[in-house]
Amino acid sequence: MKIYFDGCSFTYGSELKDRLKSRYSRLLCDHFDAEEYNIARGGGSNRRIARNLLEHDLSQYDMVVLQMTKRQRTEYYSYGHWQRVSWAKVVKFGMLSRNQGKMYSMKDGKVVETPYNNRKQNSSVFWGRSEKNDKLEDPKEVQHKVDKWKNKSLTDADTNYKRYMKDRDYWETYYREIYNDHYGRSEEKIFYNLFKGMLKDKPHMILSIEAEPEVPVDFIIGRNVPRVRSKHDSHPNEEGHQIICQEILKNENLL
Amino acid sequence: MKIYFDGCSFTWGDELEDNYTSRYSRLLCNHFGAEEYNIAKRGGSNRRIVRNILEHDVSQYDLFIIQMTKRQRTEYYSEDDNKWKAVSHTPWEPERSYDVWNDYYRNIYQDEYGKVDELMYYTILRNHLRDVPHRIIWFGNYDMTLPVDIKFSKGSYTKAEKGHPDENGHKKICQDLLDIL
Repeated sequence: MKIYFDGCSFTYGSELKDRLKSRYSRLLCDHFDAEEYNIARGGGSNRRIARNLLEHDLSQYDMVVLQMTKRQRTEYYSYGHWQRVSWAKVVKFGMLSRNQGKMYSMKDGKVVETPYNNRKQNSSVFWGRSEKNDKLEDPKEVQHKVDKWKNKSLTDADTNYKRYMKDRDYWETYYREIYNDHYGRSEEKIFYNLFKGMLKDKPHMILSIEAEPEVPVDFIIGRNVPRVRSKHDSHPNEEGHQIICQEILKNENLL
Repeated sequence: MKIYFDGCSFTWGDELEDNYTSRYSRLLCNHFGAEEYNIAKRGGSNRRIVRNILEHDVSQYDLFIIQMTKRQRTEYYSEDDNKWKAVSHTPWEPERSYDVWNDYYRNIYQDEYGKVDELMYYTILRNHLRDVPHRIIWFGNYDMTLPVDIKFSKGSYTKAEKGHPDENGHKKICQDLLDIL
């Protein structure tokens, strides 16, 4: 028996001490004595999940578990690779320009530029919600983070860096001027219908980390699922993964 | 009998003197004595076609003719106007986001992305319409590899000045559809 899993960092098992042993996909496979095929990645989008699904021969799998992610995320193809685009990345990109007084917040599901001095008046501002981000106000700290990230992501090619800067500008503009929640919900519906159509003859389950998904997923990984106590405080901990596994096992249509 | 049509300017009937009487959707409906439901739009994208079909009750129609279009196209939702706006490779409506989309096609969009989009939309259409009679056709000027029911590449129909099918072109498209229905 072989089970196919895809999703974002939740399914990847981010922040777990030993993700390969503790993530819900492993626990489910242990239950069924099945082979685990988990291609989830941190920052992954629903579009990535859809593309992966289309690239696989699903007859090779006995069951499919898809974890839909934040509807704002997407991806694009650049220099021979698919690049993941997420809110978090845009926030990181934003760090580059933060010293110029630019910052962004979320309003009605859309990113809007927020004057820096309004920051404390706006409860949904992305930055400044944790100590980590507060520290970034120090220009040296900002530069350190930028350099670290630059070295990590851009290998040794300066041309790639220039390319990245162009891309970064585009995605900032995209989230400020083009993307809105109406579009995101429509996108979520399209991907969900793609998944359901492709998996109609296959035991499957669709999860989501959206608090209020546009579509009738089987299980929402909400705040009631225990999370890792960390600066991120965002991913399920060991107990959380056990709960997700138990929720999947409750689905009678799986077997 | 009611027939659902969607697509871009080709199905809308662009460049026809009277698109409502000469376009292939009307000719096909005349043949069957059917009611025509044509929601094609100039500049329409495959994304729009899929969004539309998900918003309709497919049981209300006896036949679906879906005309897929160029994979480069997309759409976005304008909160200023509360409506969806078409985006094609060469935007003809100068508006606020004009530069953004130029930037998109210059720096972000690649054919690899478009191919995935095209496959996704095709797969959704086939699955969503699997229990109802339907045909998927395509108009375009690149090598389309998906198994649509008819590919209308350049030269397969007579055309008007800007490249859309003329009256005879629409008659041929209608006849080609009748041949496979």
